[in-house]
Amino acid sequence: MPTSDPMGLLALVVHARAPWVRETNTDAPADESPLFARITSTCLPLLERLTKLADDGVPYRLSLALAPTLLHQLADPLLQQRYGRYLQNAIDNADAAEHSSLDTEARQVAEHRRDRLRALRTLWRDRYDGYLAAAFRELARGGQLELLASAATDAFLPLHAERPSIVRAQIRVGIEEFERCFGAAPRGFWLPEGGFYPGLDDHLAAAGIEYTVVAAHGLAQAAPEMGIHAPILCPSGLLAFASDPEAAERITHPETGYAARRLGDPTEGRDSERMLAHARAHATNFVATRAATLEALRRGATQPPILTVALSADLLGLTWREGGDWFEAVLRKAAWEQNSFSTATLGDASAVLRVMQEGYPGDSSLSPAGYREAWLSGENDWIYPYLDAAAGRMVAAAERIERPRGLVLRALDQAGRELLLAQSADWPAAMADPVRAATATAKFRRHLQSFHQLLDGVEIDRVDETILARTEANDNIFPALDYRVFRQSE
Amino acid sequence: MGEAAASALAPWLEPLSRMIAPANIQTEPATQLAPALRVAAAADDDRRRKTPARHEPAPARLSPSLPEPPADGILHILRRSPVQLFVWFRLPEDQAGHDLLLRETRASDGSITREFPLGPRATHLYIDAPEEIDPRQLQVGCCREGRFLGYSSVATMPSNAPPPPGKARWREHGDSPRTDSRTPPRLGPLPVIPAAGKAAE
Repeated sequence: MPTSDPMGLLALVVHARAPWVRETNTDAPADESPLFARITSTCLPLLERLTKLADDGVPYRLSLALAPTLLHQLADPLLQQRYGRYLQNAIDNADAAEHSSLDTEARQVAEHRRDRLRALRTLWRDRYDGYLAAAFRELARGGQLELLASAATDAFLPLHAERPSIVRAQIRVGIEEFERCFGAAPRGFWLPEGGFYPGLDDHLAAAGIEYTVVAAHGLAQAAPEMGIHAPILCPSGLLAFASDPEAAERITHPETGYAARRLGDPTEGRDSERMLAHARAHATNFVATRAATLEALRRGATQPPILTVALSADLLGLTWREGGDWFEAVLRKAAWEQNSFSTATLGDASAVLRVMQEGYPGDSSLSPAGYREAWLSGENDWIYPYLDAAAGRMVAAAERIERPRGLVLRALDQAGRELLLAQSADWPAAMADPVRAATATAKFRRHLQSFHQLLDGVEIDRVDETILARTEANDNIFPALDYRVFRQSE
Repeated sequence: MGEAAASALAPWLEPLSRMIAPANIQTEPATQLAPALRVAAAADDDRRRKTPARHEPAPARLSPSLPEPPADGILHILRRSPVQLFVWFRLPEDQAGHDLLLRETRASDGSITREFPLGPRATHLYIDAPEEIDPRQLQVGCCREGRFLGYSSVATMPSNAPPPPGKARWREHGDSPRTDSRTPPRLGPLPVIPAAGKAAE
């Protein structure tokens, strides 16, 4: 327990993800930058900051969800090698820019960038030996960080609600991957994009999950007596915390939010002192306004009010240059510069509840539009008939085939991996972006093509071992996946 | 080009080689191929010599195109938001070509509430969710001589009704089977970690 203080709790929940970029087929050159940029701008700096906070004795509490696709790619030897080269290239480029630039300021920027990248490389290579997932696990063992599980491939679950076995598979495979990486069962679960629909809680609770985070407008549909600043207990026994929309707006509002001034590469040194001062001022404002809110909520309350704030890790360096500095300052100021609240993990927050309010969150997501619009629009709706057909085929195969062996067993398991990867919400989200649409479409099609190719072989008992081996080598996620996870029965 | 170089290039060129010589078609002799492909073909030939020939029929569908969803006539409804629904279906060829119509009816008495002309070969559309909370049903079909012929299955629209009542009452902590044994998260022994290798310089 972080504190016996009956004051409010601030439950910060950071969720980190990355699309599946691993590609061994050299005829389809991989664009690994979505992963590598996140490692450089978010994962490594976050680890560095959390370690430093712990070393400094800052009593922060935090929940962190690492999507399985990110976890697996962080631990993948091939991608680790390629990331090493990526970092070296970035350092060489900064070096060259420093030497070739005639402008003093540009030279200083390049120098700062090179030094920062070198420091990150030292951190990555020497301190963590390239294995960042283990470093997060070590931090969690210290107790200040609670790790949350998430869906296998970041699928937006409400759009798969028609097929409960698919939703169950996404949840269970995500939990199994968490257990494989961290050696323990998760208590909390991060819903991709905060997507919730009535009935989803049954699947989470059946998988042993105790709590999750939903959008405030979803929780508000239950008309809870204590409002959105206490979780509600679903009939299934799952606790649903509501992400505070006011806090989110303060950070991400496109015009007035702290992150509104996105200044590009976080490794640039230009105006770094001024940016740091901005970040600290924003952190002061954030902590003060959360304290004021929690003070007001505390009056007349029967138990500590809880403010849950969900934050995309992308904000902490990738899309908001000073986001990492802001976040560190928030944790320091929350610990040492105020007495109105404590930071808490979701586990901490669930433990202080003396009474429960029952309810049932409604359809909702944490997207700006609030529901499913980002993943179901004219740009991407064509994928759902294909996904549904593939899901039907996978479920039927899982039900029908009892004791496969050898190649057929491998092909069924791999088909399951391909289907899960095709279900990632990354693809429909990117299809709505003209710059990323072509790549996302190609990725989506490749996973489904592989899926059908494998099941074609299974159905006529002629699995092409070359194709199977190539697909296994390329999409090597979820090594323990058992195709029977797609069966309809519980 | 030496054997080592050929071996290094083979994985790059193999897919191209396969495009030219699918598994069930006789490979051309390597000498008839463009020079750049000879290495791959030679590597392929080499593998064939070492591996006994397979005489099984090739899988039925090796085409890279995605198989079309089945034309099973099932009407699917995905809620996009509280005010909008996405409806999709696939009809058999002999029905898809007709002037299609999506009809919404009241579930209680079958009375028609809305109709959406679709034209031939439609496969999907977005419609506004009904404001009323009484159950509605949808079906795609075609009007012939004043009669509606249903082609798709009948699907019930997701209700806009609020979540089920009976909430907003208090429950003592510990009542729930899921909240009665709260233990701090405890991470177990480290699992076997894949060989990370030494990070590249």
